[in-house]
Amino acid sequence: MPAQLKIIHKIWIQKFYERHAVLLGMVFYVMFFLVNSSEIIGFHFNLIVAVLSSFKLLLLVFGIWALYQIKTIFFFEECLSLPQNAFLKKFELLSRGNQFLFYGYSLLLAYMPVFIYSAVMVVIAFRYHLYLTGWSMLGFQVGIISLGAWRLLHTINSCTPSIFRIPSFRWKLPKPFPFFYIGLLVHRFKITFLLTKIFSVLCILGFMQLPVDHYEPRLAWLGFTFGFSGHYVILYEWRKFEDRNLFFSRALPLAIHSRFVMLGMAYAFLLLPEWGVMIAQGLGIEDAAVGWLMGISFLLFIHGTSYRSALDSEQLMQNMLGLFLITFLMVLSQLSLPFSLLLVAVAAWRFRKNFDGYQPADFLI
Amino acid sequence: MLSFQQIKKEYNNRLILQVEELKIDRGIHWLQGINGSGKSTFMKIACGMIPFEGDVTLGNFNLKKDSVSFKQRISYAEAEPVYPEFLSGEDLIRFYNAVRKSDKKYSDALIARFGIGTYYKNPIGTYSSGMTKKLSLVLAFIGPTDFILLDEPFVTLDTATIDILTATINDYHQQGRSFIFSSHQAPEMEHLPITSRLLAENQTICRLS
Repeated sequence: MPAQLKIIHKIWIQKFYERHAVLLGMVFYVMFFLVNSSEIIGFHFNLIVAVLSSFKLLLLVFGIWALYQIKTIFFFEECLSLPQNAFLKKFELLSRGNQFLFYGYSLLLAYMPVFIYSAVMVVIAFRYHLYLTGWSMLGFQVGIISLGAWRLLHTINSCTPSIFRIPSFRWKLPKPFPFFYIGLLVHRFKITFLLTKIFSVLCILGFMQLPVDHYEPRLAWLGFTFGFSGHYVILYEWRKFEDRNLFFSRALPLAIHSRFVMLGMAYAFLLLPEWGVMIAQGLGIEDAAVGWLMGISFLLFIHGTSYRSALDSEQLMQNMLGLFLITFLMVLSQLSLPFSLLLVAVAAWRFRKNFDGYQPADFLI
Repeated sequence: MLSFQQIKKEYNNRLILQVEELKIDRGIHWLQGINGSGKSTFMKIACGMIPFEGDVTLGNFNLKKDSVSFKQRISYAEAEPVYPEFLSGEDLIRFYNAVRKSDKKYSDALIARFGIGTYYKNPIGTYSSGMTKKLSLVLAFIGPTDFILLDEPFVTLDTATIDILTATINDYHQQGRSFIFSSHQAPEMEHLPITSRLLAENQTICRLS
């Protein structure tokens, strides 16, 4: 294997999968483990056929794939901007053609989970004589990888800043502590934030489409249970953010209950769009508020539990999946509100118990 | 007086620091020791940043029992400060003013003194290590604290700022504030009226003079 490829594998591909292991694991779980194993092939076949036969759904899927690719490119550019990776600029010494192939290859490797699934979709499209759809999917994949490679080519071979940037939001007003958390999402995790919100809103909308002959808020709550569980990646990034960038705040005179309330405010703000979506879809304000409270209490509970030991993504995911199942049953049993209030109380107790005794794994001597 | 009793800090079953008893009076105290001797751990324990066994008290306030009151009276600047890169220095100064219940005019004076006025409204991600260090020092001086802990405060600072820092420490000391430093830079310490020297060695802290 040429030296350039080895470097690319270690610095871009390996790091990309390490950084996004949690997100990919979550998507993989939702796609392949929530359905009964005997029905998995049939489920995916029906899902693919539904997407192939609906132009709107196909556009939505293209949009999600494009977001994934944008996230990949931004990650690669972030790696390039690190001082220890400055030597990667030396790729500019290769011919443009060679560079284009290297970058295209790298993007393809990072894009592989999507690419494999889309290959299956293309095969099914051709089997069902949906040639235009099949070719458009192929064209989309080739086009998006080529565009990405061209962008990286431009970034590495140019001293000027990249052409396209997702704008950063900067507000001049004083930022209260909960907005430090939100700031992380709108500055460093824009795509993850967007994908999480799309997933969450689609879960709510999907469940609210189920046919019932009377007003039933539990459908929205069940959908939202999937939606707020999908915030796992954000919760994990917030915890990492606390360990690395907010660690200084532990030396500040903030009462433990104030810290808990501020964290709750951050989650409340995070889940505000879903509350709006539930109301817009015809749910009563009080019922939408119960759903909102469920989400806040769920995430607060998992967050509060995570201080028991050094941050561990696997442990966090296990806790989340366990609580997801319990919450789902509680919603079905019409116990959403008392369960949410109980969760908030237990979350506060656990936070109080564990926060001061917590220490991140990589503290310096 | 800052008192340490039966302090023990272990990590992964490895003893990092153990202090049977140590009392630090008001004044300027220089904590010395080789790299990895536990100076930063000692400071992080003293300001309540990391968990530990034992007791730390400042006056009548116990760190574990009266955490807020204790932390109101002590501040800490890390050797290599890390802040959210998307926030500005101004955001953090406002936050510190609010949490430490300090008047804006004091932080404005510190901003002017340390010369960070030209950039403190920009995102921290755009700062150099020296600029971040200056911000961390400004933050450490905010609020009516009794003790200010400074971990390697002179590292990455330019000579002009080192002079400003020593002058600021002298001023604050005259106002009744106490300091604990860790520093490898002896020449800078000559300009400060050192009350005592502490040594971090063999996983403990002892008094040298």
